[in-house]
Amino acid sequence: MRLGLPRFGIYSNLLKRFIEGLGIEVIMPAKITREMINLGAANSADMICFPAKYTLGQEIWALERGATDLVMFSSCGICRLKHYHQIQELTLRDLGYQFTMNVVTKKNIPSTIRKWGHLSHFEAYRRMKRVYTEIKEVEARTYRFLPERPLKIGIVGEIGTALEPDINFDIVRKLQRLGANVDMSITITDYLNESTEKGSKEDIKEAKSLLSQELGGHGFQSIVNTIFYGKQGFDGVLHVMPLSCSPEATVETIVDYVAGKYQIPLYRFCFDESSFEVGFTTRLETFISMLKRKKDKKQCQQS
Amino acid sequence: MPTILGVDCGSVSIKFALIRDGYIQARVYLRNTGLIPTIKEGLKQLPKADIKGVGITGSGKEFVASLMGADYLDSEIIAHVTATQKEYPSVATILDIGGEDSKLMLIKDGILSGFQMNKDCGGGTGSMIETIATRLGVKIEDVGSVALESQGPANLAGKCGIFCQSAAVSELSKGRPVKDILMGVCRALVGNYLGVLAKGKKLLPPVVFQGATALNSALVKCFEDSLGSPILVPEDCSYMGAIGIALLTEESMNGRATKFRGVKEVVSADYRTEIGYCDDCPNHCELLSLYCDGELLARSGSRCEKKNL
Repeated sequence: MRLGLPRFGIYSNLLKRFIEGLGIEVIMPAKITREMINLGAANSADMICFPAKYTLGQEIWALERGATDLVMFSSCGICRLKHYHQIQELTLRDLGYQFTMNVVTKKNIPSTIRKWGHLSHFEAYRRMKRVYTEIKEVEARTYRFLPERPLKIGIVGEIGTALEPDINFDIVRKLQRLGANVDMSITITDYLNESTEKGSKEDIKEAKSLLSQELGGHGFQSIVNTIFYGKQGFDGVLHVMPLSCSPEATVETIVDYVAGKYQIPLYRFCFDESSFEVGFTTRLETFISMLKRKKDKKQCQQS
Repeated sequence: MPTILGVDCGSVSIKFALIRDGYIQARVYLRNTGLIPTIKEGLKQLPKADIKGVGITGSGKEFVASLMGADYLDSEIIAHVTATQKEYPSVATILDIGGEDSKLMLIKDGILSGFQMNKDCGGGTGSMIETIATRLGVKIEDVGSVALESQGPANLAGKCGIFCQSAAVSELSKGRPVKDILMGVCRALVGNYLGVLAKGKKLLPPVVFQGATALNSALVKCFEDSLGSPILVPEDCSYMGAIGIALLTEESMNGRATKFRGVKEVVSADYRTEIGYCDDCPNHCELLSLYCDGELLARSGSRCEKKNL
């Protein structure tokens, strides 16, 4: 089995090594390039969410390099992520590729690992525990707070866009270089632990009063986490989402409202295949510059 | 106090402002016909002065900074706010419509508290009026005075500049007078601006409107009608970015020696650019190299920054 695996941000190499440890050859691009994005966009419906396009592009890339199997995550939730594997399978078959599509959900991760690696329950558990520790270490390293960076920024929004540096133009490293500590509201460990809401019970209650229905994705979490960052005295919040992401687009106005209520500056970035880096960097730099000025002024007034 | 040069290199035009003691000594406005020739032309047109500091803002700031040497770079939003606050200390809202982008800045207690720039599309920016005015045979400078004579403006949609132009042309073939169409375009543009940027925000007075489009009196009137408050237009509305960055540079210099290469040197130098690709990783970053008299001056575009100079 030669498995075509789409990239997943800072976890890509970890996941690749983990699956290779099960005795499976993994074909994974070293970067999501412009060509892969264009390839995916050309073969997708125009208004499908952006992650569906860039994962499709990587799948085509892997199939061209001899992948026999593909893997796609399904949320089994409410948003369109649950349809990705079906739509992509149909599209790729129409393009004439032969392959098996493996669907991974949160529930069948252990059984998939046992099947792929022919492992016992105990051995599978042991390996999962080890990779989980490694994932935690990577997260701690990437999002560590350094005292020389004066600002604290929280990132809320859609998980794929927030965690994939090739798509969000490396927002975390750019922010850190500009002098801001970054707190990522949704990480993989949070997701696996079902603790994607950072706020307290009261924050969740407040968010529920603003949005009573299930939306899927991490729309609800964006509201809770914005409230959390506001209460914790963060300097700003960045809301990142792919274009036409239904949960995030739905909560847009609610996030604006809570940001206004807790007086925390907010900026929103929408990513798709036509986003360009210069425009993004200009806006990001301006946002950070604004927050720094604000902080300096506050400190002047206090002293 | 030394003389400071501020340069705002926008997509459509490049603005130069010379500042001394916070007062404007000279200003030059040029159409952007390629960065290198326009910068040279602008420096030639400026009066002779002993420039002790250079600040650069706008979308092409890094490139221009490596071209002429600069002491201070900042984003155009910060520059605009600085210049406006100097002229109107109590300003609360700044509207700015440039050639290919539009910005909204909100100021609370004397500091910038929020800003918004157009993100996905350039509809509702100055280029739209210019294109349609050219199509209707009206000079861009005259749009304001022509449109203000209108009694019954046409109802046009302003989301997409090209569709707006189609609607304008079909109104024209129906026999609608040009002044009504132009007023309709101005209204559509203001509606689009407020819909895209000011969504859910309170635009409190005093409101300042700037950018070269603020010279268009019809647009000013449309904003006044929609916001219900008087709109202030600074005298140097097209130069605010250049003035702001010069003021910021003046503040940050503190007697440092300038990195500016000198007017004569920049004007007489032979600049050449070269585009290449880095093949070290699958990103294939586009590298832009700038040569000055055959010598490599700067290189940019490498995402991992290892090949940047």
